[in-house]
Amino acid sequence: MKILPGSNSGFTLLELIISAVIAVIVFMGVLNTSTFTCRQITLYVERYNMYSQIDLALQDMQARLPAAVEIAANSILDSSDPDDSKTRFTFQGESDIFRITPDNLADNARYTYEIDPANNLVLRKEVNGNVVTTVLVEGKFLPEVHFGWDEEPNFLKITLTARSPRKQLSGLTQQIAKVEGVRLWFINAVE
Amino acid sequence: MFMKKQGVTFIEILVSLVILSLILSAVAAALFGGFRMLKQAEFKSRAMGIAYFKMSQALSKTYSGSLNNTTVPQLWTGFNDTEAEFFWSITATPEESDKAHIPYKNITVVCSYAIKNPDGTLDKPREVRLSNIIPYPYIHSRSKKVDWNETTGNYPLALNASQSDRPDPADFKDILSPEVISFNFEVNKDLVVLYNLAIEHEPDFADQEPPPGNQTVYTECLMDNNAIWGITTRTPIISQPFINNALVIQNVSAEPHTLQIRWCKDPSKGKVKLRSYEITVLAYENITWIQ
Repeated sequence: MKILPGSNSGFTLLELIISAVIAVIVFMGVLNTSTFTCRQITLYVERYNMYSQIDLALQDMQARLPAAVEIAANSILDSSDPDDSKTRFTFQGESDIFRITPDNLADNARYTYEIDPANNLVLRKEVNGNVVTTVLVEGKFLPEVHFGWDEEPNFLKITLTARSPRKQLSGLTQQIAKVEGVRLWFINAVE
Repeated sequence: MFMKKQGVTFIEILVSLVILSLILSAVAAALFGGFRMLKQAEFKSRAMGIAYFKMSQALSKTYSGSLNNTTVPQLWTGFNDTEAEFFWSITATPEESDKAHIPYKNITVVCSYAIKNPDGTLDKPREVRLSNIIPYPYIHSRSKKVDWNETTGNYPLALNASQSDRPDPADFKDILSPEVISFNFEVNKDLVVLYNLAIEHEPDFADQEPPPGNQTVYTECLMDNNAIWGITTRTPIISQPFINNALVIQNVSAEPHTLQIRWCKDPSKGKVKLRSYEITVLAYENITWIQ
């Protein structure tokens, strides 16, 4: 590097300090923004998963419940109590949901929707003593499900909520809630 | 050559800082705005869920069983929500199509909601609205079935014989006079009428048991007590004491009507009793009338 005689190209202390302060401010801003953005993406992905799993669970119930031909005694709702609801619902319905044969019980399966000990919302499908368990909503989302009835004895009201365990940003709700109505074709949900 | 001073002035630094802060503010506003929109979308999704639920419930009812008016807004308590308040209401308005005059019910579900602010006050109310229709049914059915007590033999309808080989209209008697089935559909319909009668004869044919083959029962179907539709059946009692008939009545107008089934025994000897009857009327939309 060639230094011209008489040239004064160095930085003063003041310039260095100001530059350092600006650099720190910019760096902190970029760091905070990136951290915030990462957290935002994480929350978006988590909420997307929660929505997807809740939708999947409700679609599953919407597909299986209408063809129910028998409801377990501990799942029958009380007709004298409009607010009665169950957190576990067991019924007998079609094993193949695309082949509805209400008069043929031989091709049926026994289904249970419930929250398992690991807090997962699961579907248990029992055919000939073999039980297959499917996780519909993961336990980390703390799902809650309530099966109630509303106005009509054959109209089930399913309320499904999930809760994010993370601290939410900017007042975002921790709980996601959805309600679904299912009309039973062959049986009433109350007695 | 003069010495050139290449440092940054204080003004330039300040301007740079202002520009930088403006950019960062815009970025922050976009990020927080995204969260606010996400929050609003969450509550809108809940409101939509409630509206969809109430609409499904309304659509699961029949045309005649559904609402005919507007419900007052009711608080939704299903979510145990502390962050917003949801109210729903249903409006059912009977209407009629312009061309074919087919009635239907216009169902509108409104779910209004207000998000709670951090200080507990409610934000401005918003609402979602769903609309659908419940059309007048394409097919109706009316059915009536009566069985009398066989053990007591208490039959309310015992029929004495008519006078001639071919009975006069006056010889026919109504089954459960004056009407069997009445209806009042809101559009023109075609009707399919099916009826079954189980007959029992009394053992009063002197020395002939079962009754001789010339002992017959006639049946016929009348609408509004003045027009005979379909064929008049004639059935030997000895071989077939179970009578069935099916007939079609086309283009029945949209006003009150009655259907009657009449019967008559021929010839003028012996006595028969009606043990049970079953009548089914299927009414379906009159396609030619709609066109």
